[in-house]
Amino acid sequence: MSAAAPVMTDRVLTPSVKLRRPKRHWTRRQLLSSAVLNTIGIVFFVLTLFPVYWMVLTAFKPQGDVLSSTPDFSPLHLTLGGFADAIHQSPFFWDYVANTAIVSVATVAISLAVGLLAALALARFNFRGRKLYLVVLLAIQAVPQTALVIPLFFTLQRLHQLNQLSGLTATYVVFDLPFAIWMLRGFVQSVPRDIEEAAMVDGCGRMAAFRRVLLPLIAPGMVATSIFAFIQAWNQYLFAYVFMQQNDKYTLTVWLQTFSTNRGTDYSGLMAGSVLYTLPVVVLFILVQRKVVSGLASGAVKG
Amino acid sequence: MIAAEPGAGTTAPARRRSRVAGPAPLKRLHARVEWLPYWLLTPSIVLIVVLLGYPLVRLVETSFQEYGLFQLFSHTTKWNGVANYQAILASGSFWDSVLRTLVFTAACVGLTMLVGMGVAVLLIRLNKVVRTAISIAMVLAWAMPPISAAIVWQWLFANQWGVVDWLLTALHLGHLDNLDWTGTSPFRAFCVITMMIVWQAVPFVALSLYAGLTQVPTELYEAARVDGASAWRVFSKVTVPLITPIIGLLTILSLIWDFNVFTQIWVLTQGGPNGGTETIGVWSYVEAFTGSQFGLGAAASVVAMALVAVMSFYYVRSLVRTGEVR
Repeated sequence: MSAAAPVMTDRVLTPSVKLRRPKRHWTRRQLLSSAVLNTIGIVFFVLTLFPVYWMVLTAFKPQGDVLSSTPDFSPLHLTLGGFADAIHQSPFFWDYVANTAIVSVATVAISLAVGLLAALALARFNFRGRKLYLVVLLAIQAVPQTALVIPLFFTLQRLHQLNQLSGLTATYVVFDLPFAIWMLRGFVQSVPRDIEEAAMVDGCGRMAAFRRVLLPLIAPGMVATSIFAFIQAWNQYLFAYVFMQQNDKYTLTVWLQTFSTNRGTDYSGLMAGSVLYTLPVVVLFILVQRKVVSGLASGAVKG
Repeated sequence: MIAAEPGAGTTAPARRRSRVAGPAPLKRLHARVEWLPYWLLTPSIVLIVVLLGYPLVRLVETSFQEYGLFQLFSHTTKWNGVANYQAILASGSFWDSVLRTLVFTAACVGLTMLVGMGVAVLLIRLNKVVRTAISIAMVLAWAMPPISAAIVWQWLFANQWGVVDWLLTALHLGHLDNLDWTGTSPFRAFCVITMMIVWQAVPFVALSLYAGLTQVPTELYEAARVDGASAWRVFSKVTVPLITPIIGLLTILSLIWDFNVFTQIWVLTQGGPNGGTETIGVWSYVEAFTGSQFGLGAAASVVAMALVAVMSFYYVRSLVRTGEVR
């Protein structure tokens, strides 16, 4: 909620109001068109929110209410039974939670550590091959996962890393690292070089200037990057689906997919499972989504 | 584990160097070739080469090999020249998947951009309550992991107790009880998949365009109004040209993302009914992991990579033009 607010400040709206004011004789028509627009807006709001609402509502509904020919849209008869079903659906549920968390955190740690070094090089130095490296980073983000899954499967199989969290982490890093480098580079660039140089003139070594001056300034950016990298790893499906074939080694995404295949009529359990899996991502995402939008818009409007 | 080692190994020398560089850093900056940036890049380059470069080489290699379960377990190599490519190019189902991917991508991107633009313009003119409500709903839809989105949409369109069937019947749009949305007609299945993709893609596009729109200097609008331009002319002659770079970037990003969609299709239809929703990615996956024809799957992936490379070229170029690659 608060994350979305800064994107849409009041300041933004005043100009268009000012523009409309001179045309007084249009007021009635404008009122009408504003009512029409707001109605369209409300319809769009309902359509956008409904799938999320339906997921949450179904998760809290008793089994009997879910399987009714006339759906009940009101949140009146709620139960936690669906969540109990979800957690007990597989004896390995907590293993899946642990697997997903471990792989995601490890991926973030590696991507952030390695990514920060690269970001410093790219943002603070001019060297031969810099542009080429940037272009490669961007190009990597277009590589389809389905293309990498075959060769990575061979390699992991040969190294006996199938069904291993370490092997899965390595494959997640492929997609998290380039993105982490790109995002961190932006944050380092946004700190003026003069600040560090001033510290170095004052006798700080380069390392000290980095640790005492730059690092505190880019810390929020590092948090944001970590969160995005975490979400990306948490959402991964294909690699885990192919590489983790023992049923105690699944991640939550693979578990949800098998749950969905074997759900029978247990929709409230399945939706409760989705809610449990989705909730951390949504909370984290709300914290950082503004950074994507503002980052993209800032450089992109050219007068 | 593979991933951790090169990273840990190369940070130490990088730190040692920087300590040497400490005393007279400013002079050093201009004096001679600096090795520090290269040291800093080494861990990431090692990881990218090992985890991405090598697999890509391996993919191309495999596409020229006969590679089945026997080769997988015996670790033997059997080259077969361009036979895999000949096979897929002669295969009707492969060409169908290429065509399907292109149409599906175009439909998703077209709808996403149209709706996204509409919503962005709408957001500017709405009252604050509605605007905030829409933003919240969009962020929630955007934040949903693809797997959750697919599972929820499966439930929305379920052929028993599905709420969409109920709604369409209640609105007298046909007697649609127990309509199988994803299991009988590929076209209907694609409709569901497309709607789901667009639902999740619109928020990013709409909020980005909205942010872009709010950055257009208001004097330009005022000037256009003073000159007597109509609302549509102001939009098409002032607004759109100014946000063209961001429209271009969003379009090309959407093209890449939608071309590469796998999870949602796989969860909703597994490429069915009768392969009717197989995109290139799904086709390649099915050949490799269901049919154990890894060579064929690899060849299809190489074709997909070639198509992505074209889009990627325009993506990089548009970022270079907006000054992102500095």
